[in-house]
Amino acid sequence: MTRWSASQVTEVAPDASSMAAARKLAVPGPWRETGCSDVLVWGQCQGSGKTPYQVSVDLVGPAYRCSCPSRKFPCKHALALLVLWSEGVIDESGRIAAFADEWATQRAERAATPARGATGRAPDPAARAKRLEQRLARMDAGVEDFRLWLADLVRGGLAAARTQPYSYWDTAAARLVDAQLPALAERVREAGSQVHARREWAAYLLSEVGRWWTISSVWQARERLDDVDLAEVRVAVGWAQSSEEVRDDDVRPGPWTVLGAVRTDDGKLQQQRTWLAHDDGEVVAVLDFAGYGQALAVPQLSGARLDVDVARYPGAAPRRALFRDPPTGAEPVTALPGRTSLAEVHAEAARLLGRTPWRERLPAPLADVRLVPDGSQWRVSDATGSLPLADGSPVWTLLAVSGGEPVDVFGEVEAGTFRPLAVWLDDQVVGL
Amino acid sequence: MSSVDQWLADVATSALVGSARREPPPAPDVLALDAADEPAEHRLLASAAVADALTRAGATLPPPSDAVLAAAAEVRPPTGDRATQLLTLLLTQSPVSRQARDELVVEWLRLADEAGLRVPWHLLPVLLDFAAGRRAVAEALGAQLGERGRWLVGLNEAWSDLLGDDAAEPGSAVELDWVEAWPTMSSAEAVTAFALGRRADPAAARDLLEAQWSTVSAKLRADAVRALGPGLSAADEPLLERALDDRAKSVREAAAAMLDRLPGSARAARMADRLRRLVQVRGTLVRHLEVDVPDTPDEAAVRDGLTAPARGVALAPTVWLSQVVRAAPLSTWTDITGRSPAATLKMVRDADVLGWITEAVLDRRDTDWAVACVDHGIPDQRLLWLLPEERRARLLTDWVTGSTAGRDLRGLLTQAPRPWPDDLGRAVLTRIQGEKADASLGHAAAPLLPVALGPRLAPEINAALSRLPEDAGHLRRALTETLQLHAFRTSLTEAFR
Repeated sequence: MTRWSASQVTEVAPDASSMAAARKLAVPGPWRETGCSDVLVWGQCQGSGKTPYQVSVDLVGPAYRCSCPSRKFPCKHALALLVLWSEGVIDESGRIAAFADEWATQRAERAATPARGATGRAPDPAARAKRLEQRLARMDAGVEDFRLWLADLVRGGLAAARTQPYSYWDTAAARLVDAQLPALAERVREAGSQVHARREWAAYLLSEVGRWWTISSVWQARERLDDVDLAEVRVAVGWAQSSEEVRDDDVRPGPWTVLGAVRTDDGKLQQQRTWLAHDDGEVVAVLDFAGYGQALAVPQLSGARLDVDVARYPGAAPRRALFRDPPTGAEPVTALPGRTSLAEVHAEAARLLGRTPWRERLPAPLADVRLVPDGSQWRVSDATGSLPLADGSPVWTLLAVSGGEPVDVFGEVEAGTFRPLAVWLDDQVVGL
Repeated sequence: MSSVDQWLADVATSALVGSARREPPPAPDVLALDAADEPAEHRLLASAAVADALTRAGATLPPPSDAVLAAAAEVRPPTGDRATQLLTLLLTQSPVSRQARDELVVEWLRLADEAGLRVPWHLLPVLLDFAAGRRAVAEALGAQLGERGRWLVGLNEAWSDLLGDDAAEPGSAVELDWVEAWPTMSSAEAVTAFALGRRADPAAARDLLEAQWSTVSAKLRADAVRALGPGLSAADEPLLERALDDRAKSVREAAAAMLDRLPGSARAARMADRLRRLVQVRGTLVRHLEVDVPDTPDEAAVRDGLTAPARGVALAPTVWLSQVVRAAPLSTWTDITGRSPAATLKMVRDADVLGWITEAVLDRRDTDWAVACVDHGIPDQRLLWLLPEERRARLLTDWVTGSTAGRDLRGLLTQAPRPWPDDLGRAVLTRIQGEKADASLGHAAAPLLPVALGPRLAPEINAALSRLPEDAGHLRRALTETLQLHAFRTSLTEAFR
């Protein structure tokens, strides 16, 4: 496997302080018995204790293991090992250290077990159909229950709902979770806090309630839907399709160009969205999730042209996708695929809403846009229109690399705002 | 308002108060919503669903906005990959301690400037944020920011102070018309303005004070006299003589203290005269100095600053002696003995007198006498800063090597210019390792070591690392960091080569 770049190592660090600690350890001094193979890097690091820590990194996962007590993940030792490896300090070694080998074997076995289990259950279609039936029954009951709750809500009015304690929303959300409708549950919980946080709460809540009604109505009509719409409503209620189900369906080989990527962290779940474009203009988003203490997949550099097969989830464009294998062949390009205007993106957003009214996020490869001041805020603007930047956008980096000149920027349009993810300059692509 | 807009507003009202109290409005025909048979709350929910989709999909794109003036084209090329990487490291995941990091960033900026290069654009925001809280880093900013950096600073208020012209820096600003404005200022303003003005133009400040002498308050006169230090010269003597006759005691004392620092003045000559009458050379075999205490001072002596005798208060005559010694020129002593300062000091037997002489040396900042005092073994560590650099390092090294008791080595080492001379570094390293390691010196030195030890000491540092006391984790960390820092410095220099 090609060695990672320094920035790739940085990206897997849980926080800046871990990385800083790792830099201090990334000297040959404390390390013994280091080595690497195609898929593994390992070594022993002398810490403050008597026994050195045994550190192994599975580069494919990536996965990390260290005998130190740190709760950071990956810990500074694993990061330091990766730094040394990325700098070429660690040599390929023919013999894998015993502790690393043992761990890798365990991992391989664990990885194989569920697959065997799945194939073991597969031959019983009757049992599977029964389980599916049970699930759908539970979901249907949950949706019906939710619609009653919604009817009660609007009968009493939004103003009265706002005076309800948070438990009012939380209880409704918990019932949705029980009914295996987690995405709806998440929306209800979010509304429970937004209704007090927002100034225009009445308009917000009216919109949300309307959307919940739309989703629940579409769910109840699901037998009349085509596969694409069915997939969309499944996402909306939170009936996830497992990656195993998708893996072999609708595969499209590369090259895929990385348009930009973003990481979010709501405290419970980290998410990484990587937007990819194919040469004919198809755009997909690869989503990775990781819970607290877990590591997200290695981020792909914006502007890289990846030689990789991508499996696409069912649904309307832009579709969700997954990498079938770790991407390779990161040849950089600097011409932003699918450059377009704000007006065009805006029209596309309206078309998308016409098809799937609850979807909001849209990729936006904008050509020749500038950042323009708007009071103390900034907007992105081209000849056709302008949009405010999303909260937390890296305004100053964008200004620094553009210098006020028009540049190509890839980003996401969501709820009437633009979130810049990568600047495509003439000679380089700067991920934000 | 179109029928759809009216309908949207009615839906919102109905939803706010509830469908039980306000019947949901019928949808306009253009929307083709057919739900008349449904119960009211369902009609309201369906209306909300349509309203949501309609509002979002029907929103118009805001018009284009006016752009800011774009940045000028860059003249300097950006720094190379390696140098850029090092700055990124320093700013985002520093491998070194906070203090060392600031110094390295300043060093990076200096090297970039000397090489005629500029900071790569994408690093400007993080660099400017970093500099905004650190004066030393902000002062190192300049041409290496490039046109883009200057442009960016102008757009962000949080950075607007970073590139101020030198004259506009807070703390050193002198208003051009301060002389005219001075009489009208509040007394606090006036003191600050005077001190600043004195720094900028000593003669103008003196003339102003002379002109305004009789109109300003005694407190302001005293404060102004105390502020005469910068640029003090013989030209100030007439004003100071006048101040000796002032009504206010505080003004007289301030003037006497200023005159102590002018050994060529008439008052110094008068003091020399008083001193000469008190000092006799005695002894035939071993010549030494005998110093008498003065008589109760007369009016002239009191005018020159000796404490006035007060009725009913018994004042030790040594008080007057100390005042005479501190005010007389040091040359009075060598004139009396006919010998060098060092030989003269040997002839002084009285420890108190030696102490007052030392104070006089410190007041005058006299280098020759400071060397003599140190040679004589006077332990006052303030003398150190009067010594020539090389001499100072040697002395400090001796102090570190010898007994550290009673000396504020931490203070001394902190103030010593960095990097330390190698001998000093070596001496400190020797004292903090092995069985007889000096724990308190170790604690004092640990935070300084990374920035103070020179790169040539690498072998000694490595040796010391293996001989540190068991419990000296702070020193182990400090020395490890020192090595890292040296490695970093080396890569920094190489990156700009």
